[in-house]
Amino acid sequence: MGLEDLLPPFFATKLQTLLNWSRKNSLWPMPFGTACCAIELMSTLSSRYDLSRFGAEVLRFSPRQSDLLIVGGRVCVKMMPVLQKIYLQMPEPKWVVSMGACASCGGVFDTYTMIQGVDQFIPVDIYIPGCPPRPENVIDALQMLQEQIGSGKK
Amino acid sequence: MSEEKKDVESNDEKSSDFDIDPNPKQEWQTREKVMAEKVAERFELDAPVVFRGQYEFTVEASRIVQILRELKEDEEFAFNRLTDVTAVDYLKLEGYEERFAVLYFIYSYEHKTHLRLRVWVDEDDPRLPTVSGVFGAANWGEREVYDMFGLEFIGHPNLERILLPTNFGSFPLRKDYPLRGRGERDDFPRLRRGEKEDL
Ligand code: SF4
Repeated sequence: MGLEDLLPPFFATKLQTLLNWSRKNSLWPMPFGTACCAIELMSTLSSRYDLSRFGAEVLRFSPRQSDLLIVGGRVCVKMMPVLQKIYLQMPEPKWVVSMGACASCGGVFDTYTMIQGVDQFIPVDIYIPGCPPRPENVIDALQMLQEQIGSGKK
Repeated sequence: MSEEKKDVESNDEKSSDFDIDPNPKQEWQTREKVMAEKVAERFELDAPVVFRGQYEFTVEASRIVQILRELKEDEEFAFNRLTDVTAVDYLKLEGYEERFAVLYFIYSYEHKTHLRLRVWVDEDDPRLPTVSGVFGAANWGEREVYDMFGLEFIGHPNLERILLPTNFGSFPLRKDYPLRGRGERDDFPRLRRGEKEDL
């Protein structure tokens, strides 16, 4: 941040707090849904669970307009380069949520074509367990992430 | 109990015979049988393997294109649909001619009969002619067989991998390929936090 260097230290700290506060309350998720977890993600976003109550309302299918990558589903060897490309295309600051057993560790699919956890190849901030995780888990994960962003840890 | 067992055994014995059931009870069984007899006579093929009323002929690789073409174009057979092309890897199992077999499943809309043709493929020279000139549907089927088993179809218009990434090094449905692969799934660059896009 160039702006912080120009200000006296006191203001810079306050400015950072303000920035973190605004970032955590306006996350723009980019859904990378490749399998059944994506279905649960949809239900989390729609009216019954309504993720927008927690400040992650607008889904963007363009990585250049989003800052939270939600990897929901199995990732195979043909998809991994695509996922990495998408991660690189997202502007900083950015966060990654690995949703479900498959994205986190390969799940039951221990075969030649399945990535055994996307965290081997892209940095992951929050893991959600479950197959698929319930919408409550996703909301919980989002709030954990928001806490970390707000306190400046991430 | 023992009687039942006998029944099953005698059925099995019959099923390796050309005349699985001299007096088929169902109409479709008669249809299949008559058609198989006609095909065997026309192309001078060996007796087919019969399993539950399905007939399977073994043919040499050099004849497969011509036989399929005639089966398709001759009014008498009119096998105008190729349901599937697939392959089997028998690896070291006893009692099979070669390691690989390619199977062609054909169906005739007109006569409502099925047929299966088997071609043995040698392990050291895994090549056979393409039938994509006869059936358009064979194009992708043969590509899948190539993708999974590494069998080469001579004369195929576009023999590339169809499902796996193009740089995938092995043929995963071969029986000697390990379930967890040969490291393909671990072979990616590791991105770090803050890494920038290469524009
Ligand atoms: S974790 Fe379960 S629900 Fe999620 S993608 Fe894997 S199999 Fe599907």
